[in-house]
Amino acid sequence: MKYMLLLFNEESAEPPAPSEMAAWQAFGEGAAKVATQIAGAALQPSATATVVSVRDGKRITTDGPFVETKEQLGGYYVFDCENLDVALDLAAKIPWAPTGHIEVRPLMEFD
Amino acid sequence: MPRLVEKVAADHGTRIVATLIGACGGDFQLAEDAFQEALLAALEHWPTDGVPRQPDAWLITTARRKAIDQLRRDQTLARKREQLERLLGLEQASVQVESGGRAEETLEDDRLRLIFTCCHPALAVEAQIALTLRTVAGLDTVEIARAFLVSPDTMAKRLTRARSKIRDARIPYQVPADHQLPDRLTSVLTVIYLVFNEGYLSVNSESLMRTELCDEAIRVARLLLALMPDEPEVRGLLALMLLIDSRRSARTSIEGDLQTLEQQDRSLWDSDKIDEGVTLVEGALRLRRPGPFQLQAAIAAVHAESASSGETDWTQIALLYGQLLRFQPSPVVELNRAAVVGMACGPEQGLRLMDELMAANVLPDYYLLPAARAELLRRAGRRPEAAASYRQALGMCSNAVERRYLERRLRELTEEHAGRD
Repeated sequence: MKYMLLLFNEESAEPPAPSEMAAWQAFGEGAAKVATQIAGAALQPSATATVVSVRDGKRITTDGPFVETKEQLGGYYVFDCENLDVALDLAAKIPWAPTGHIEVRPLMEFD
Repeated sequence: MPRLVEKVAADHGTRIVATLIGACGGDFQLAEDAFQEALLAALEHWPTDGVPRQPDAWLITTARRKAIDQLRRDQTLARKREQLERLLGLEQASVQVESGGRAEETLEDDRLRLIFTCCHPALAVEAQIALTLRTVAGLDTVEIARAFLVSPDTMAKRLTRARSKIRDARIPYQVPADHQLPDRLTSVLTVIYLVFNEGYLSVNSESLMRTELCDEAIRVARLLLALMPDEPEVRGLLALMLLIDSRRSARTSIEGDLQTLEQQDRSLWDSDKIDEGVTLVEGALRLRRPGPFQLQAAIAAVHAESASSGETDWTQIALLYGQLLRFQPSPVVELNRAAVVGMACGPEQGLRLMDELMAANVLPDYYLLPAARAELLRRAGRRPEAAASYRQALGMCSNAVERRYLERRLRELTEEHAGRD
């Protein structure tokens, strides 16, 4: 089953340190042993976001995410793995897990 | 004949469902539905064809076929095709299993899987509790709803949502791997203890105890201990519940009033439960892997073995609470420790710890804090302050039986005072 892992954390202005980059790479290599990565990306800071909605046929474009929370969505992965426990194990190993939160959501299946 | 089917369902129902959930690849809803259909089939066939030699095996086989039928009707999703293949595989293997005598062992494995899946932390705690009572303990939805003071409809929805999440998020039907086990076992033990406490403490309920919930919690803990005999915390939890439950008949007076440990008629304590609890906790502590349930059980054991409140080894209990705080650093444990320190070292010592808790405001709306403080103030001879503290506790407490207790203490205090003047 495919799961999306949504990575939330407080945003930092600092670029990641080399040791942090090494931790992400190690995570990717470890994950490959128990699951297949379908997708994954880091997002630019929430200040770069734009929100679009259409109401009564009229497009409304505003800046930034709706909710003023300390933690922002900063990246995601999609893994195909055996079951929720495997996905939760992966989530716990994400370098952000000790400082932020990882939301694990199964993908809807259509066929 | 309906009574016989009912009896087989009552005696073997939860074991059969546990096995069926395994066969259905962890789909609780499919397994439950198939089992209900198998029971209907039994009502139809047993009167004419005769009762099968192994009624439980018959029900499993029949339910499995019902599940296969259900999946054949609707195998659009890849997941359902997977389930179907698994069930068909089992169907072919079933002849060997049923004649090979391995069925019993498989059932035990499935029951352990069932407990861990019902108490999976991906489910809300209230859903874990409901699912455990429904599927592990085999209570029906109406009974569980009554025990938790919600409508049967609300409880049915809660159960359905939980089963859907198990299926849709694919919560696995398995005993967790070693590295997950400590966390997951804690989650299971917590659910069992919550069920017990719900029965024992019964918030807002006129009757102080809904004993059936206590009995169910003890029954599930016994089952878990049989399945995991080497886990000291399982032993500790069972011991703790038995020791608390041993005071059941002494906890309220004939008039239904709450009796504190100090006031209880200890001859009413159930000595069989105490013996079993003490043996269990001693056995657990010998394994030298202490944990919060073992320590709480050890505290309860010291009480259980004391002839009266005055003869209790309060110093030992205070030390045990100190250890418990290392595992459970919570304000409630600190409050209990403060009350015990008040017994071991004098009320002023205990009051100092309680005043710190009041000042930190870590237990707002927790009536047991002003109630315990009132008790120590009374012992210290500070009557007006004690009365004020009892009134404060009354302002926060909603359980009728516990309110009556606080009102009585307040009355005794003022009468005593008036008598002196």
